Amino acid sequence: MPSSGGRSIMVDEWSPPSPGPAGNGALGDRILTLDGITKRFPGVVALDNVSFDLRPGEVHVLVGENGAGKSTLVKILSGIYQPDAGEIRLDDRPVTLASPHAAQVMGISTVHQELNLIPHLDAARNIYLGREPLRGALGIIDWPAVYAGASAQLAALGMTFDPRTRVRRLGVAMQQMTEIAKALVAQARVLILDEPTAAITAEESEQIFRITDHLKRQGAAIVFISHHLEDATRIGDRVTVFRDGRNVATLPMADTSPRELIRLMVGRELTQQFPKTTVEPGAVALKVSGLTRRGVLHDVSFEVRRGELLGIAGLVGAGRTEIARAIFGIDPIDGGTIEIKGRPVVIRDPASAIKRGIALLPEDRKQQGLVLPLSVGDNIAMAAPGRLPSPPGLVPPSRRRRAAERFIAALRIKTPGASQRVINLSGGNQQKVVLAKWLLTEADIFFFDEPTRGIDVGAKVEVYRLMNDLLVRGAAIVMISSELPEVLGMSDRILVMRGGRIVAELDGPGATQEQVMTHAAGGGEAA
Amino acid sequence: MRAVRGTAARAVATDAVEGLGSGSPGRPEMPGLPGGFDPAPRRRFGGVDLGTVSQTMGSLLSLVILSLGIWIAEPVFMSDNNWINIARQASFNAILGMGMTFVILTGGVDLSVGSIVAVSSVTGGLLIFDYGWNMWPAVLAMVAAGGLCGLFNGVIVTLGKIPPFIVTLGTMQIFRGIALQLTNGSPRAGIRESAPNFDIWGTRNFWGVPSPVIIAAVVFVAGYLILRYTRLGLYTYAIGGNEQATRFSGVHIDRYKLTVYTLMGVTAGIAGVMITSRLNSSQPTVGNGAELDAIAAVVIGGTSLFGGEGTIVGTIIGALLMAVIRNGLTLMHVSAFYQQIVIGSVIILAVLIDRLRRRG
Repeated sequence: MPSSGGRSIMVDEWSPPSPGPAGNGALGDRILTLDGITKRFPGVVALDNVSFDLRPGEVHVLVGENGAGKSTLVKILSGIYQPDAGEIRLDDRPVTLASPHAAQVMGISTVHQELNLIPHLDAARNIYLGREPLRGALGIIDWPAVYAGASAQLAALGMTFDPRTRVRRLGVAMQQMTEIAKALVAQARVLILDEPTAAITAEESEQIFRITDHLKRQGAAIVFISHHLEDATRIGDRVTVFRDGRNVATLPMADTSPRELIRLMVGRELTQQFPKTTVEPGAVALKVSGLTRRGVLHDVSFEVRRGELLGIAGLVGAGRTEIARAIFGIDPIDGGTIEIKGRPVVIRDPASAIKRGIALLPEDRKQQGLVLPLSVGDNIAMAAPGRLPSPPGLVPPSRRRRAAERFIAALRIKTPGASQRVINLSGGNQQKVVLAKWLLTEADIFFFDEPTRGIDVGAKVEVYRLMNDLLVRGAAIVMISSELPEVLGMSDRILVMRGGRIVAELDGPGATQEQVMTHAAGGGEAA
Repeated sequence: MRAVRGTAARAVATDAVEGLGSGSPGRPEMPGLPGGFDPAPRRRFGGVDLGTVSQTMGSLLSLVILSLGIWIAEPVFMSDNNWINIARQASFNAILGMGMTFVILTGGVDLSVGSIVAVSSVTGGLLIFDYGWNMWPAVLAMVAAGGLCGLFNGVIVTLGKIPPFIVTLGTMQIFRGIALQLTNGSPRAGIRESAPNFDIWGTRNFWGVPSPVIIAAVVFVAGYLILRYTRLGLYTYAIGGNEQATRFSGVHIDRYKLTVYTLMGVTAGIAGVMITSRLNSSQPTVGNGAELDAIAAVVIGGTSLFGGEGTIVGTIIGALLMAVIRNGLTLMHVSAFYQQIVIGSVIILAVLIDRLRRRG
């Protein structure tokens, strides 16, 4: 419908309608205002009466723990979620961001953490996707204009790669640049960058910072979400701290420090929902030395004893789950040794890990832990058919059921029976089924990856008690969790990871959330 | 001797389970559930889980209603002789369908089964006519040839990590080409005369039952027992239900997939023996389109094409339903062209009904 020429395609031509000279939007001059935004999901209030504004020419950083509400806010701003209450104003006019498309049309572009590019198309086609310049009455795509525009756009961002390169051949940083170029073509006035520096090198981060600088001088408003407080303090003009779905503070970056931000992010009392029992640790059950997987894990060494719960904390992407996957034989390792009960072992696949007594309760219960259409009994029997009292190769349904019934009773799995499909169980009971599966294999080294994710408070406590039972019986537990209170409340020792390395080891009972967050986010040294 | 050993192994295994098994000293016979949880009434009846029955209930009901309808229109339909006819007509498709059920339960598909039937048939002709083999070794070789074809599919699927649809689309051509090449494309008649007793696989009756029906029944019992009682059966469902979670449970996925594709080949080999005996000739063009009939029987029987859900009983009903439709429409002098339209509609209807039922 639109003819060519009406659309600006060069960075230099691009300038928002309300320009602030040299990045100084006058105070009170707001592009975007959020007023009392509330978003509820079943069982959780993800955003609770959040207010927040964006000025032209500023980089506004959002920080908060995992699950504090940042992602929900981003999804509302990019039109993916609709708020249950509250108002969004663009240039002081109330607007509804009904869809991602609507948000883009209003000039709000988001570069999500999971990039939204089409891998098989080249960079230029991705940049212009959905807004290809057309030519003539037939509406033929003006490809020369697409490639010329993309080249110019990328050059303005300091990129030298060929816009004809297919996106899947580009590295993550260059893919991000492609997304940013796409946002610029869409004439974004508000650019949301969700964890842009999470998966790229320091050098590539510098490039991002230069670009944000450039853009804000042109009067755009940039929302920058990051777990890396150093990055945040470097480029942010203002910062908003989220905690438990609330905006707890909005401050000029100059008036605050990483220490204060961490305190604000954590700032909650540990509640007494962690029934920790301490067991005298026994012999070393699992010892890992120099575990390396290129680009993912670097020289990871630790040990865990019988009766001990080792917590692993860190931000998403720090390499916590990857440790469990490597030890369990899911991902191949490039170096390092694993000793179980003093004996060096080679683990090629999950089957050999199970044979050594290792169990993994994966972070994604439904995708990795359970076969949802199968019954409770079948799921429990799956990892250890040899342990059912039956002739080799046979797993009679009656035996599966009887074994399952034992665990249904012992773990108090709420199900009408062993033949119930697990898909019909609640999250907490599903987690118990996964645990029962591993109990049947007689594992004694347990990896719990996000053991209480998505299950309600009561069931959480039950899962903690089951962990205690395991410890009392001499099992060793490695618990990976993004919930700091859980890590602090249940661990005997805590390892903190950042960038695929173990950056700190803390004593469980003595550690504080501030300490853990400081190490995890790399915001200076702990007190 | 064997029984004694089995008991000993069982006792050891029981002890092992109780080692770490559960917090409370659970006995295999649970004396009621602790923890004050009152089990809700189970949807069980006479040891049968109604949840799985209702999957096949729809197709069974359709079969009954359809049969009654045809009976009213054409009373001869209900005669013993006609039912024996229908059973025999259904048996070929049912046997292929049972192998296909395994493959589809794992989330795969095998388009090459029709061609494997031809390879089996041609193998028989070659060995009997050119090498003078007797009936029994020839039959075993035919089944083995089918198994080898299936194994080949399985190897490519697992080692090559290529979608089964693509692999078997290719081998469908390859196997058919092999069968045609080996025979120069022409059938060879007179198997029975060269290998005495070859007719026991296709045309003879035993105790008044046609041999194909007996073979199908044997395959059915074996398939049912495998799916219900063995690890292979459990993992066939598990792989189709969630391959990743199954792998994370320490199951050697590839090993079981190989077995399943090989079993599919074996059933196609058996079907090849049956059809060769029935036609009394070895034919490289036999089984053309059989894969689609087999898939149709599986789908009508309520097995999900995404894998993980379905039963072999359903497949039998599916195969019977297709045979009943063809037989009934023929009795009512409906043209073969219309029959195709009806069968096609039934396939879509079966899945549609299944979808609506699941949503409800």
